[in-house]
Amino acid sequence: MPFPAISRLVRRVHLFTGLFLAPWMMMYALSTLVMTHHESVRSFYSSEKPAMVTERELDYSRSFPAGAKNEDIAQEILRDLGMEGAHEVSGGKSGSPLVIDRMHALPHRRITFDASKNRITMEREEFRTPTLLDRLHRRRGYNHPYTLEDTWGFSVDVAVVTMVFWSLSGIWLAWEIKTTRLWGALSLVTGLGLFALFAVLI
Amino acid sequence: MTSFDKINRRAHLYLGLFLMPWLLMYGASSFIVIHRSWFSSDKPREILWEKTYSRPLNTQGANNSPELRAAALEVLKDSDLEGAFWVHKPNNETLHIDRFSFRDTIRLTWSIKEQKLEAVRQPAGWSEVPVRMHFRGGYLQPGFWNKFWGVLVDVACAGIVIWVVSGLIMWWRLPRLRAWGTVAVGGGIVSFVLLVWKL
Repeated sequence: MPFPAISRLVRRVHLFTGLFLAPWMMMYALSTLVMTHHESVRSFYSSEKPAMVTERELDYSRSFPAGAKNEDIAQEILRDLGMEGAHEVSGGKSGSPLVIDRMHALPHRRITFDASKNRITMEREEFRTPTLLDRLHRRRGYNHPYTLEDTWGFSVDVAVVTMVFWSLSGIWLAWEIKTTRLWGALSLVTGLGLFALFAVLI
Repeated sequence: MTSFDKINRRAHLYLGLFLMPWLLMYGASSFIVIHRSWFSSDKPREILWEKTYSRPLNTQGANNSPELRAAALEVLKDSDLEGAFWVHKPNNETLHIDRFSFRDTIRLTWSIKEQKLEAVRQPAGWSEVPVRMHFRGGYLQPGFWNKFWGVLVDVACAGIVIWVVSGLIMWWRLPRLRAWGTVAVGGGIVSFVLLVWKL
């Protein structure tokens, strides 16, 4: 492939991957700002955490074997409710209610199963944009046995590889334009120098 | 509009080159965090010193509260270890101060009743360094350089927003790429919204 064709290809890939991954990059930038300015963002709200609103209560008379693990019970309950997906389980010891936090990005739900009353309570977390951004930022993927989680993890992997590509292709593209070489080199060296200084100092 | 286009292109380019180390660091560290099991980073701990320490300080605050941080800062000053730290109390008679940098953590354990202060260094593995950089941000830690790092994290975030916006403008100014660009933008937005909706 002749050199101008390679250059053109690099430009196109740089542009189109940038356009495709723009939502991920915006989410990561805004969520980082939310995290680093947590106190300021928090001052816009009346409480530290969003309120949980009871969505519905239902009878749930299904019984589980005495030695059943909490995780297995939680999976059964989620399956029965048609809410399978990434979750965390707590409680359920010494007859206390089993609490399942179903980690929906939009919105987060809590399912409480009280076996002594054969009752399930479903609560929905009040929506807050900063909470959504924070959750998306911290979502890693691959650590739950669900295809959707793996898909999210894969999308983050793609964003990571593309970030490396943008960096390297950015240097190439800057070098190709003669008028930007000097200031481009100066920007790169200043950034690298400052970064190295921080790596040593703090 | 030529001058605006030029400023837009130059901002995209120079900001990108300046912030490239941060972009690479965030990329590498995200990969390490997602695939944590692939990167083992345990290194042996090293006892630096142990000494008698009996200074009367107010250690009544909650973990990382301003009161407890003020006491911890005095301990760090007395030990010539000032810098970024977290402080917590596992019980009423012990104070743990984690003095951390990108390369290692020095844990000071102050046994208040026994008047004993111990420093143990935990070096960070190579894969831990970008992760520590990734999780560092904000303005809570003392010292000029720590706060300056906080500023640069904010600049990197603003830089990413500017890249996205300036990239969109650059693309829109190229009429022959609008159709395929629309497919890329639309595909990205639809994929992202669908993932967030279904997650």
